[in-house]
Amino acid sequence: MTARAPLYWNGSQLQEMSASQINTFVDLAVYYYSLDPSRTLTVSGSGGNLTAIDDTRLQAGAYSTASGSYPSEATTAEPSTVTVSYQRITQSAASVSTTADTGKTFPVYWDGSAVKHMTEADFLDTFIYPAITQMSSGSTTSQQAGTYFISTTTSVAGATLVSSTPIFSDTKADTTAYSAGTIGDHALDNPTTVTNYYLHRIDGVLTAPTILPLYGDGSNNLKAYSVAEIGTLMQEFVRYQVVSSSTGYTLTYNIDGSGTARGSAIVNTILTGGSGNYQTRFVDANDYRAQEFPDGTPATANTYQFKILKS
Amino acid sequence: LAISGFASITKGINLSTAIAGLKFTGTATDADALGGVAAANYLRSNANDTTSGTLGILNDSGLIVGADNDFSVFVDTQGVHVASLIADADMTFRVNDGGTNVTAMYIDGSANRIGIGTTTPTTKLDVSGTVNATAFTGPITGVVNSSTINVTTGGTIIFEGSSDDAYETTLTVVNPTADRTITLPNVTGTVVTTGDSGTITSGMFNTSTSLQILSSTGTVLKTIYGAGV
Repeated sequence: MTARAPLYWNGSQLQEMSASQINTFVDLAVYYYSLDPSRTLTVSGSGGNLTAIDDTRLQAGAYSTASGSYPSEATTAEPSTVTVSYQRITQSAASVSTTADTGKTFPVYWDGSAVKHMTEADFLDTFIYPAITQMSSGSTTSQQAGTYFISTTTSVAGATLVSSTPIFSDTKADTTAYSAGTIGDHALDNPTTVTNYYLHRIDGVLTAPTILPLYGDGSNNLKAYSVAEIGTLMQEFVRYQVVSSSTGYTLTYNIDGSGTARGSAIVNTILTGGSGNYQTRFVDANDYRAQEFPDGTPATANTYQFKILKS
Repeated sequence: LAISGFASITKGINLSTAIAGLKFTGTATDADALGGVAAANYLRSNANDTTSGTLGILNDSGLIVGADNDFSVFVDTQGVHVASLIADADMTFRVNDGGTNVTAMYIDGSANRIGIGTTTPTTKLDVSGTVNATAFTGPITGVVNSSTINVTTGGTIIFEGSSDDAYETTLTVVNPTADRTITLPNVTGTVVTTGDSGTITSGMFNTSTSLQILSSTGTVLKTIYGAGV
């Protein structure tokens, strides 16, 4: 780890940045990354490449019919489980290249005896890796801008809804949709949505630094980067590391894999504890119908977690 | 009747016509007037004499002084001339300074030089003393020794340099808004200007130090010299 303290012009002389001042540039790196993330997620109706997650719910058993009397409960089909698989998130990586070090591409620091330009490794250690580490945390503030999280609402302050198509809909049987009088007429599967889950991307917030690092210009004079210049340089390297790091700073997303949970846990609810709500319907002497409707109380069948992984 | 000074006297001669070559002979040793003017009032040409009247020489040839025609005052179409007529003879202009005759100005005739305060001028104008003038024109060459040089409004000091060409170095000032004093340091060296480059060296700083700007690989991109602590 060779993080450096970049030099800046304090109005009368060169001065090393403090840790908090360096952090403002870590935030700036995150902000510029958020303007053009290299690891992106999209949502579509199907065909995603993140792990599929299943929603399960009960549906009524098939109704039975008999002449002269109702089929017994024992002979009437039990409610069954319907499983709907969601694989709606597609993860993509941009192709990124970085600027080669000319010897004075990166900011300068004081090495104890001279003003020296950072190497690329110094630059990564000072700004880029801390930015990616910050982005990979479980928080969902602007310090994680450009990364994604799951929410149960379509509108979250400080974030942009990726798609109005939920990445997962938790459903359960709608027990009110079944009635004895419509046995044979109503669908077996009458779901009702418990919760929809949506994918959001965190928006960046620009807090322009009041000081700026220095570099050697064409005449080898020290010159301050503009905010856009240093921001764009950091963006380039964050984008590259996020998708191509060989030192453990790629960012990927997964469901229930390794990493840090991002946003709401995805809950699959199902009715449990019931044995089937046995109901009968007389249609005519030759059509005595019986059916078992879903019953029970909602309970969590399983929980999925959307995660971000730095690796 | 005898009249002293006249050997013979002929009383009254009336001439009825003009007679050429008529002369009186004899010696008028006691004549006291000529043309009604007392004889004592005429200037002598062969002895020291004075006049209380104005002496005018109303011709261009003017006045010549000296047994050897040493000195002349004359006029011609070019104006008035005061001239030494003897080859290489010097001219001394003297004044009586508090009772003492002193030489105020001296002209070296053989060298064609003027000395003021000196009778041995070594230049065209050699002044031993202070010169005061309201203006001076023309180039100054050679060594100038002065305790103060006051360059007046809009004035400059121009250095031709080693070559008499179209290029000179001019000293001038921005119009001062208060009295300013620029003191040159007590060292031998070269004055550095804002337009100079390559002149300042580490040796010019009292406590020399340097600051290097290095590339990311350690190559020296620039070295900045200055005074350190």
